[in-house]
Amino acid sequence: MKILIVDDEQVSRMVLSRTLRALEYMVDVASSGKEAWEMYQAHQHSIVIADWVMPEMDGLQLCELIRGQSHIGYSYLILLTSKYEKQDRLTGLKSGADDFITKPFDRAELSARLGIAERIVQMEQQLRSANERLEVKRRQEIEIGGNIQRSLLMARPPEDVKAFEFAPMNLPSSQVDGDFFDFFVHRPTVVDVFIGDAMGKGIAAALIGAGSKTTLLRSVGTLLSSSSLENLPSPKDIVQHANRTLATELMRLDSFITLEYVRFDAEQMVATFVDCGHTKIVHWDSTCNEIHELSGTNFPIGFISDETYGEFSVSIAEGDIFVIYSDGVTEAMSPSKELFGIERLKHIIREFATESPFQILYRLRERIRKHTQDGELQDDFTVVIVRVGLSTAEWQHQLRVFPSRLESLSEIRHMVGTLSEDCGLVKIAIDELQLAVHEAIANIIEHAHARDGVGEIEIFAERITEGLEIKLLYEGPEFVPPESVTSQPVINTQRDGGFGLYIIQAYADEVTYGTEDSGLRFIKIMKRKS
Amino acid sequence: MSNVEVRSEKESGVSVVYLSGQALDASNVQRFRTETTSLFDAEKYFVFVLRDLKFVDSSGIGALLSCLRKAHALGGSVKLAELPMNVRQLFELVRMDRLFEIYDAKEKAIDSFRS
Repeated sequence: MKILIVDDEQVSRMVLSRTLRALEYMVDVASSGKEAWEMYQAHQHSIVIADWVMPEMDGLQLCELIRGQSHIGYSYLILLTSKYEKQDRLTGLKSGADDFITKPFDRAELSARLGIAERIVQMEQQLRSANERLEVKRRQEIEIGGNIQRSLLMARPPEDVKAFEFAPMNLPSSQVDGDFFDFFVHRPTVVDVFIGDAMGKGIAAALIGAGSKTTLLRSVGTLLSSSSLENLPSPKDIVQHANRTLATELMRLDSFITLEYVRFDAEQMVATFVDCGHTKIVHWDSTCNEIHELSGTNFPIGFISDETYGEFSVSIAEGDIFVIYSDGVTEAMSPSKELFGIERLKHIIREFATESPFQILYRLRERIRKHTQDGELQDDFTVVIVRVGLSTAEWQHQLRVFPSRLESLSEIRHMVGTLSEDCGLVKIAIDELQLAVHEAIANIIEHAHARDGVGEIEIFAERITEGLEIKLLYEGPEFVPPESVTSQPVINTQRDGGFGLYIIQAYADEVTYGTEDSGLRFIKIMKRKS
Repeated sequence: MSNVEVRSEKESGVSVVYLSGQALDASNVQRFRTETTSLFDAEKYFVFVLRDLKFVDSSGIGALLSCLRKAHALGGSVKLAELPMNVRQLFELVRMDRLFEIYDAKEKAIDSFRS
């Protein structure tokens, strides 16, 4: 362990350094506070012994400087005091000193005190490395949980269904929560949707969620195989079947699942619900412009293995909106600990009820972000918005969330390609839009999210008369593009980068960089059909 | 992560490097740079054939530029051949066609080293 000694008196300095070397310490010696500070900055000594009284920078000031810097390790600071000078040890402690030694010092006492100093420095180092290991583990767990979530727990909305439009979204919280949802298309006019929430957090909850989702889908399959096409198994039978399979396991794991299982049937114009302790569904009734809360009385899955599940139905009409969600939505908390609540949710639905489901989703997300004021999500945010009957065959908006990682780039390009084709962009315009969006995303990942590689990028697409508008939303520092971005980059072989912004500018028909009211940054890229 | 494959052959005294795959982009340039380093140990005249490479972004251009730089340092060069339409347009947009010699056919690129 390396010790730094600083004393303006030469004799005292020599005696001390000789003693310490005899005790087999490595020693650096400084003759002034200023010199000591320079040496300390270079070597970050574990122990510093400083004379209290020195001209210019005294021992107290040195202590304050050392404590004021933000380097990672801990240095143990000892002040040398004199018997003849009256010094206030409390002042020394406040300046950051850990201990005091009186001159002239006793060798045995010095050795004992250095022993204590060493132990404290070592303990601090062990604690720090344990913390670092824990942090690595925590990050790994978040990543594994996030991967399970994206690959196993969530689903893409069905594409070949024309009687309903589905807008799902999931944002994982930093801890991963075990939310899941999926769709089961019986026929284009009859679709089951379920959304569940496994109790607990972390990988355990994610795995329980994944297992439960698989079981539910399997129950659908099993019951379907023993029924006729006209006589689909009822939602309550499906849930009951899944519960029988899952209950014992869930009880053993001391867990349970809240679940909402819904069948949307455009032939009978009816929606049937099995609510197992889940959050209330919000239903906007387009025929009377009223909002209803729907909830049932069943126990969650995994409470009782032979529970008999009940269902209820409501009639549906063209334009009706249903919002099925996890408690991460209504329990999103403001800095003053106020929950977002179902009333705010209903208010948004009423306000935007005639918009497309993805537009409603976008607005909901925006309002919740405003409410939490950018605070980290405490729970997973999972929502499925359902609209009955597509008034037009064409989607108006799309919204998807991607993890902010380079691995997402190819999937995002693919998405942009599909959306562009839907909007009738010509081949060359598609290529250009894909590249412009790709460059923008790569910039966000590299610059805004470089710090920790954690975060999401939301992609909101809007079909406009001229073509397609794509808005990339992300958290991070504000980005102001330099003036020079509109001119062609200087060409020489000595540069490897810097073309990205120019490519975006050149290939987009319009590009805007900005910040939403909610504090989210955005890059909006517009491309015309031809 | 997008995949990019690098395969090189010696043809008429020139090292012909075939790049193929979904993309040469930000998600894989780091690996590409590592994998191509050894190409410059033994050779200095290169033709990169890009016909089976679907997508290149600004990071990909950066990686190709650094290959050109390495070849220049050895007194050689990297020429490009058979660029897909979208890649060709991008190269023209950022005026990479002024730094790279670009050919429609691999053979022409190889021949150009002789004259």
